Amino acid sequence: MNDDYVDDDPEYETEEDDDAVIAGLTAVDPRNVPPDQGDAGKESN
Amino acid sequence: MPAVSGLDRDQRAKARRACVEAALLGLNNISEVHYTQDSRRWDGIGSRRVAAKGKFPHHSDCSSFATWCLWNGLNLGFDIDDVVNGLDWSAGYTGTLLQNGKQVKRVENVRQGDLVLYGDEWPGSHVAIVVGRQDGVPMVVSHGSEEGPFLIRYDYRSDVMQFRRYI
Repeated sequence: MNDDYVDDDPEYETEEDDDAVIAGLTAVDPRNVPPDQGDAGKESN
Repeated sequence: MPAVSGLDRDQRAKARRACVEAALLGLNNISEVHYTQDSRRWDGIGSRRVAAKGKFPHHSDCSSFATWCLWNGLNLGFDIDDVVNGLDWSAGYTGTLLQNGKQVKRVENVRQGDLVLYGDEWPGSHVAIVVGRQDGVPMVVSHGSEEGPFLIRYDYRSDVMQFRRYI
């Protein structure tokens, strides 16, 4: 696993997200989400 | 230090937008994006379902959905090799997602197109893609069950393992 962090990388310092794309969307209440079924894993690739 | 993807700032912004558009396309077609862990989960990339043309995978699991979103932004947009799983855009799971990209340590630095990996131990058990913030909280599109994909806050599970960046 690569342990380098991007947090202090100046390459990314000036980036800003455009949150307007999700501003009007209604998120699901976490209490109403069924359990995640997991990932297929290496064997199923 | 160059970006993980090698793209410059403007290119990264474009790639992030494409990733988010792909994730939201899946969200908007929730009833047609079925959850599976069988080989059909790679049909989104294998069948070249291009989000910009309104095409999305009809079968997917969490990792193949997140990878499909990033494939739209990186490979279709800029012909970038598979920096997401390192498997030529043809396979992957949470383990390969953890082996590629770079970690974002602080939640305030998470950006659109970053992935959130969940699980208590290697190789993780779930992944979702960040699509922006609502009230300052990173929001993800998560496809972890047949009922999904969902738009939901990143910390809807208590086992957030780490954030990773590939763009």
